[in-house]
Amino acid sequence: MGETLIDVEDLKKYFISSNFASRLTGREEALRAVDGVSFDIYRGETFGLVGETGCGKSTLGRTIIRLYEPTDGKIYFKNTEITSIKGSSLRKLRKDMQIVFQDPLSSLNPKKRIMEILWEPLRLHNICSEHEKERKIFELLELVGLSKADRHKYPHELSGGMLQRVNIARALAVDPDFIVLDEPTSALDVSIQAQILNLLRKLQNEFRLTYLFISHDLGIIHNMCDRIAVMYLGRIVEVGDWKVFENPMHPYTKALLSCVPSIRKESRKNKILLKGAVPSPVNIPSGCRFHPRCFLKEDICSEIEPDLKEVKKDRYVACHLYQ
Amino acid sequence: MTDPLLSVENLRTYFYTPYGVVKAVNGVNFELESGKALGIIGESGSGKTVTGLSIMRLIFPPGKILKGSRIMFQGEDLLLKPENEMRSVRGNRISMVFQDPMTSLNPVFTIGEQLTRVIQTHQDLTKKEAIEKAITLLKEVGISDPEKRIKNYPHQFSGGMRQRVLIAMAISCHPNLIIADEPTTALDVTTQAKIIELLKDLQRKIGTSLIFITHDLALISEIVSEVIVMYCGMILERGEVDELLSEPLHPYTEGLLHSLPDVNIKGDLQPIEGTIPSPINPPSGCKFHPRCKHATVECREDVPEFKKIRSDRYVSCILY
Repeated sequence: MGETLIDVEDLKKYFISSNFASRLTGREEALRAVDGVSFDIYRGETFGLVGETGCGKSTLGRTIIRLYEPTDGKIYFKNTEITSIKGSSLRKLRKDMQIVFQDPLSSLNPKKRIMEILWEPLRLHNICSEHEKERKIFELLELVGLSKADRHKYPHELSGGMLQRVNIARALAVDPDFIVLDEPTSALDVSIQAQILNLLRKLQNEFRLTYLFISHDLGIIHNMCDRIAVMYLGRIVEVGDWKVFENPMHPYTKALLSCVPSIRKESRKNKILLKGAVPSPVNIPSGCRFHPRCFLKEDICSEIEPDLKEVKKDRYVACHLYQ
Repeated sequence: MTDPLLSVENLRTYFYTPYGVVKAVNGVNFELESGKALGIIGESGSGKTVTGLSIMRLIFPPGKILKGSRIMFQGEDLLLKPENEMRSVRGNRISMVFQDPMTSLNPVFTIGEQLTRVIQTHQDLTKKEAIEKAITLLKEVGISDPEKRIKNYPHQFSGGMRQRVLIAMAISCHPNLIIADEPTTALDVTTQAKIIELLKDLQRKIGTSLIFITHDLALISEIVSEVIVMYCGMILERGEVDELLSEPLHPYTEGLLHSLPDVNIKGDLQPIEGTIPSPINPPSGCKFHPRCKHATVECREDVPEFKKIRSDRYVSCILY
């Protein structure tokens, strides 16, 4: 294991829904999107974050790079606490941490040409001067497999795959250490998705980047990531390396993996169909938050919330079955 | 061999846009036997959805189904039917489940109102009987507490539940054919697995035929027995599902399979180079040739014939 780049300790992010009536009555509701999450990300690895809609994976990704104000907990980046830094030190931090969003079109300014879009981060962080601008932008375009002629185009003139390349180039412009990839390929077609995944892997090797790869697609996560964390309703239920796929331990991970369709007949398992739907993050169940849907539930599960514990080497599980 | 339930012959659906003619579906042929499930695989712009809509005759200007196309359903050509007769086919004998469960229901009517409307349009039932039927249907698709839920509006349902309502609506008149257009794309895997089980179960129980449209190769292998692969409005390959996926013949199918990050493969993927061509200005000859690694001069000039390789296996490529 290499050095720790990011260390997250008991991180929480609540969204308070507050309106006039709720302020009067003092009954404000908290949506607990991320509710006490701890993990490390090592330098140079791809850390996968997997979970279903509404489990808090995107919120977690954005909170780590300080796009959201954390409600509680601590975030360390290169051993420095960044939980509550502000102003110019926060701006400096943005140079080290970047993000690529899910929707490649809406994350680019439609009124700007590709060249202007890529110039923006270079200008803001004083990375190169005006007369080096063109050379640097050519370099970036080449890096992500776009042609020089594309710099004069507007976002709407490019296809989804090419737009995502622009987004990646923009993130790379500031030479970051860490990039959050928030479902970077889920808006793309299969044949294009594979191109983008290969590009991301190439860039990681070239610049020794560290990725936090957020996805709901277990196939992609398995293909791309060194270690993965499975999230459910604001908490991490299991962390481990690729062996998680071979031998999932948490009942939720088991169910999730069993539901992934496969083209190979022999790897089609019996599906574990969970009952009901994911509960609302405003009204989180008592005890283990998975217990109302769990097929291995015991009495203790509805009372005490299990902690994430190391059950064997490099495998952490939050489940009473293993405590 | 008995007559197939559905037979699509030389289907061509073009859209006459100000920028040029989009040949969304350009000469598609296939048959579907009663009780069978057929998958249509393709990426965006391949014409798979338009094929589904054409069968339902839900193509509106600037779109047009060209003369010479035939859609034979239970021995009748749907394209020759007057609109009022077509109405008794839609929702009754053929029904469709659309991709986006968020926008396919009317937000200002309750689930019950929308379901009973479909039922009463096609069946001679009183309001009360229709409501009872709606409740049984919702129960059948696995919605708990349907007596109460029927009074809810779509926004009170989750995505998976809305999709179940759409399926309930589609099966309400025991259609002979259901066209499911990416019914699970907007859903999570655990919900997707439940919807797929439900569709399979219903297909077994009421003996409906199914056309399942998707871009997900892995998913399709779990639900249908036969697949056609579409690209730029044309069928490139057709075959039995497991055979087609384990031994793809067309370079495009092969490329798709290699692009797929499966939970069993680690490391670099082998993507198809290039991008999906513009529908207004598609390549000449074989539509796939600009991205194909086996492409020759011939591919650029002629559209390869859709040839039968062996029983139930067809491919459109000069390699064969």
